[in-house]
Amino acid sequence: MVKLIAGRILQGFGVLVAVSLIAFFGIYAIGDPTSLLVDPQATQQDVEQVRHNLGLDQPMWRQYGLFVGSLASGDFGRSFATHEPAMRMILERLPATLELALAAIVIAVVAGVPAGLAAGTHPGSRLDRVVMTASILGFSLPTFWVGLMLILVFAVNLGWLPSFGRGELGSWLGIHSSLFTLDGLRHILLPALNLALFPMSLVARLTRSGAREALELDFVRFARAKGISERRVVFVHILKYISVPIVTMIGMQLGLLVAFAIVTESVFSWPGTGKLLIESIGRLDRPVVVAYLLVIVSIFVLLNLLTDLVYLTLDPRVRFDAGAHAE
Amino acid sequence: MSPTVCPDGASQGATSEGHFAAEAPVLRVAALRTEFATAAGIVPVVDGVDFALARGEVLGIVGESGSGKSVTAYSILGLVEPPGRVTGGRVLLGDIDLLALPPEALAAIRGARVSMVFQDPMMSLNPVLRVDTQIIEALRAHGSIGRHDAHARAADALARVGIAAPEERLRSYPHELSGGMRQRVCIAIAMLHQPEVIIADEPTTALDVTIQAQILSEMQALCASSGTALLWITHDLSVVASFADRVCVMYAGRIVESGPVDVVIGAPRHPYTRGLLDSVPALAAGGRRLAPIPGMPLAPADLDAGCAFRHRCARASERCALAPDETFPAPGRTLRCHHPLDRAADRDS
Amino acid sequence: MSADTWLRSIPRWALAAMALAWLAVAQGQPLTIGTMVEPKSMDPQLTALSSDLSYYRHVFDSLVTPDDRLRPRPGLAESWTVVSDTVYEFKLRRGVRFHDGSTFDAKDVVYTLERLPKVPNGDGLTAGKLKPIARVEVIDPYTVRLHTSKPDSGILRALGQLFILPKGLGPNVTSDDFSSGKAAIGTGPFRFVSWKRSDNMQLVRNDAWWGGKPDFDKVTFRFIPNAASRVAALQAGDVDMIDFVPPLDVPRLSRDPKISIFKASAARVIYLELDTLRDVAPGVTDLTGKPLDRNPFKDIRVRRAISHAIDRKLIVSRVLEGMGEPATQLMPQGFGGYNDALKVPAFDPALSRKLLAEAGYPQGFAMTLACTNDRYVNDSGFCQAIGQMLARVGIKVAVDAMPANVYFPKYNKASFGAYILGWGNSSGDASSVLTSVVHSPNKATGRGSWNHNYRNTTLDALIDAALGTVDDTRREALYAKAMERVMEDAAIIPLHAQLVIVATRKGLNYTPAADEATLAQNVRARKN
Repeated sequence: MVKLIAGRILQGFGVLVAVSLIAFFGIYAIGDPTSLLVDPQATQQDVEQVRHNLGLDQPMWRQYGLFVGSLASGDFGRSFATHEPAMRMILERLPATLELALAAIVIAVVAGVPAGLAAGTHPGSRLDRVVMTASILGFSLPTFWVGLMLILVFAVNLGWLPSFGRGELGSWLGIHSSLFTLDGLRHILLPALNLALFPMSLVARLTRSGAREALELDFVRFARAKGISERRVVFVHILKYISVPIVTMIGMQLGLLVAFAIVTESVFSWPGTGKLLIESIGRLDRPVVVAYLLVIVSIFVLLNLLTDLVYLTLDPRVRFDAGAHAE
Repeated sequence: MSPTVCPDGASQGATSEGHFAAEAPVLRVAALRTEFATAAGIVPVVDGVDFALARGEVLGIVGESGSGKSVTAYSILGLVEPPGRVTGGRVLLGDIDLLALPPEALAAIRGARVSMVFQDPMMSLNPVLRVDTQIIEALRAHGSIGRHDAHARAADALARVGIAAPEERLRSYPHELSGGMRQRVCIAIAMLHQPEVIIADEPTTALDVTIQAQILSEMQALCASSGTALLWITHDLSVVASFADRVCVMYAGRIVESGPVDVVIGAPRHPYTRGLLDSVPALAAGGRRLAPIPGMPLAPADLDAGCAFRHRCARASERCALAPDETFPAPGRTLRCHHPLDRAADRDS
Repeated sequence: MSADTWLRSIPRWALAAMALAWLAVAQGQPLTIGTMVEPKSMDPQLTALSSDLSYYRHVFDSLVTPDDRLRPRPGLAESWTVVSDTVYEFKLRRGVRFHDGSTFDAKDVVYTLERLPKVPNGDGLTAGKLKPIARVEVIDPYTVRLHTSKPDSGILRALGQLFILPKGLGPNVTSDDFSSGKAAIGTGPFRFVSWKRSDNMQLVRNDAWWGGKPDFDKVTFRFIPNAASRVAALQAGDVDMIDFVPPLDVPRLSRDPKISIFKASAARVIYLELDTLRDVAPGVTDLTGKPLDRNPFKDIRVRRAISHAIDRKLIVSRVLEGMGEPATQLMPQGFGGYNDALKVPAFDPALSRKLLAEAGYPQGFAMTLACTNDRYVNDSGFCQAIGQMLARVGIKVAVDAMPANVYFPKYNKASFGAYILGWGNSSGDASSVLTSVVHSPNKATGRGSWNHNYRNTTLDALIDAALGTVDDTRREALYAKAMERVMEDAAIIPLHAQLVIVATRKGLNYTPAADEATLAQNVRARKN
């Protein structure tokens, strides 16, 4: 077990280095951010001064070296645009994105798993076909369009929900989140729904195929032969059995949601990291982009590790193997 | 062993000597028909099966793989999945027709009045749930019971099937137990509510030979002591010979011969039964060479209106192109054959 | 009749009602504005981008305040006189207090000017424009003189971007202190309350503002960069006002009885520039793709042909949905130095073809037009339109549209042979465009920093002269003359001026500012 965790952390570290290199040089390849940061009416000297202040007049390898050096003291550099510490900018906005991603995943699971189970345990039925078709729509419809439609219908036409932004924060056990206030929930509903559409469809399909396969297995027959209710057969026996691949997918999707809630955040003006990323790319604000990618990659590595640890509790057979191989 | 009549659909139970008082059969299957929809068309996997089970009796159903014996068992409890469907007949538990029951009523009977034990305990038990969960849910399915009591009853059930240190076993997962122990757990679950009938579908086939005999005798003892009738489904005639009261021989979805076990095995009348006996070392006459039955069973799609065994039968004639009806050569015996072996025919001739 | 008897004759309920009404009006109402751009910082000396200036103007004041046409008006300076070519004297307003209660006087002006060049990581823009100020002389607590090293006409307008800070902040105040609110103390119409990045900024009214009391006691800016979301927010009633309304939405919003639209011509003018400097212009070839023996843009007939091929009226009405004005020159009407004699170049494709044939290109040629696709209103749209219009006179145009963050670095490397640009004219007169775009590059003075493709030394002299002329009338006459020459040369071809479009819920009144600043102090609640 310890070996597993240590191995993962080492791998994660390698990924972080690779990502930082790619981001660093990738942005450099697009162009020089200085011209975007100064007013058109700046003189050439002003531009040079700004470039010098930002350290952009040094050779690229040197800049990368300085960057890595300052990482050691926890300094991820300052945004070229706002001069705030890049990491602070990201960490300030991260809770909003995490909140949104979490809400979306919850919606995706709560809607997707039962739908998939219902479809999978009634193969070929109308319900099955409806779920399949709906899931295709769910991951084909562009998030941008769906988001705007949601705003149009629920905010503009019906006026039931706010059209943008994050609601009030409440606190619970020392955590501040808009999930803890009614106003916050009203604000998060539409963007979370928008973001949930894609993972919901994937989860539904995965659950459906898993349930379909599990239905054929002997333990389902045996469970029925014991006289337990069909509901328990589906929601306890089948669900627990197929939970490993579902949890894997949820873990992966959660990471993806955190990383790519960009479109939803833009459409709903949700003050998260995705919005920050888009603006920073537009401004070629390298420190922020690099810091963002490092944070995201770390989150992915962590999530992967957590998912693996969750397997161990869900599927006792894996525990057995993991223990056996640990030596 | 008290010989009891294996009646046709019409008659009631019959008198018997022995331990049990005269009473109606606990389970009666009449003209059961189960069809499967395959690419080649609709196939009758169970084609008109009749038998009855008396209280406390051990009835063996013997047949090769593909003879429809397992599907018969599933059909009784309504466990047949699409593309299969029970299309005809009645399964009477007392006076309730199980085939006509709504799902909740059927669930109430499963596990409580009629239980089932399957062949591969590794697959019968859900590998991701603990043993105690799987036992306690079977308890809860048929009545509310407190946590403490449920736990005690589960431990008790395990002890009764001969599992040592039941408390530890309860906390285990199925893969942590040996094959024999897993099957005992399944048996314990089947016996939880003192069912009237236990259907055992080849329960020892997947186990080591040494354990097989143990499980066999333990099951027999359990059923005898609680008066539970046992429907034992197997391809192994020697197993049936050792401990069943009566036996039904199945071929291609039909029961071709049935009767008290020593009679059927001592003096088989159907050529298939004869062939089976000749091909089993334990039952063949000592010193005789083993004679496997020539040919292969027909694929279900190739079944026609004639006797399904005629292509492999030395005694077949044109008459056999029409399937024989069931006949009753003696009380408690049935036979489906146009050219049965001579009643007095001796194994050696 | 005594006061007593008089008062007793008014029914008490009437008095109560009046008191309540007075209270209600005095209370004011909250205003929520959905804006496209969020400020980068609240340190008014850190950056001078026009989007940031918009926010500074709420909390801070400058000596000289630009009005909605960017003309300098008295701000914290009540009046000023030009004492000599290099000395300006300002009389400061009395009785003004900062939000922390301290009194405003000359010492604050000194403090502000001293800090300006020393701001760490500053973009140095304002500092650069005010560099000609050699020293500040305090005559008395309410009179200061600014001495410039040489005559500089731009000082007055540049002071519009110098926001006066309280000396109490001290020499070590950081930009972070401003953004957190700790140091965001000015004399402006609103006090800073809070700023949640990416989310919202809250301000409350400064009841003691010298410029009059704003109509709203609480202002919240909500940052909504996505245009469709911004419009939806207004329609849903989640905000009272939005800026940067996309022209395509204007017809629909105008029909909405709950919404009012306000337009004004922006300071920004879009123009097309052709490379007349190099012998080979990038992207210019003959119709088969082979290089030409000379640069067609160097011939004034080709340039004029291109200008006359463009139907500016059509672009404004079709591509911009009427939200624009065809331009006669590089700044909009009403700005200092505007030349009234100049007209919009005529749309005359027949003339274009004639000129091209005369210049030796009867079949035309091929060129690449570089364009942004995310910076100006419908930029890729009007570039495509221009491409099609030029095709009609025989010039094959490939439109190369790219995002701003790719465009500007390439622009600065002079990679383009023909391109469009939108000039913000934030100085409110012709000085900025003439200085940076028309004047030849000069490292020492910093002039011509955006000029990679045009050289005209006589114009340089004219512009230098204008910049050094302190007298307004004379200077503006020089600007007008310079602009006339630039237009004659037809290397920098004006296209259209954008409009500033703002939409509010019914019941509000607003005059948009030409520099696209969204100012809450200019929002009036309609009384009816």
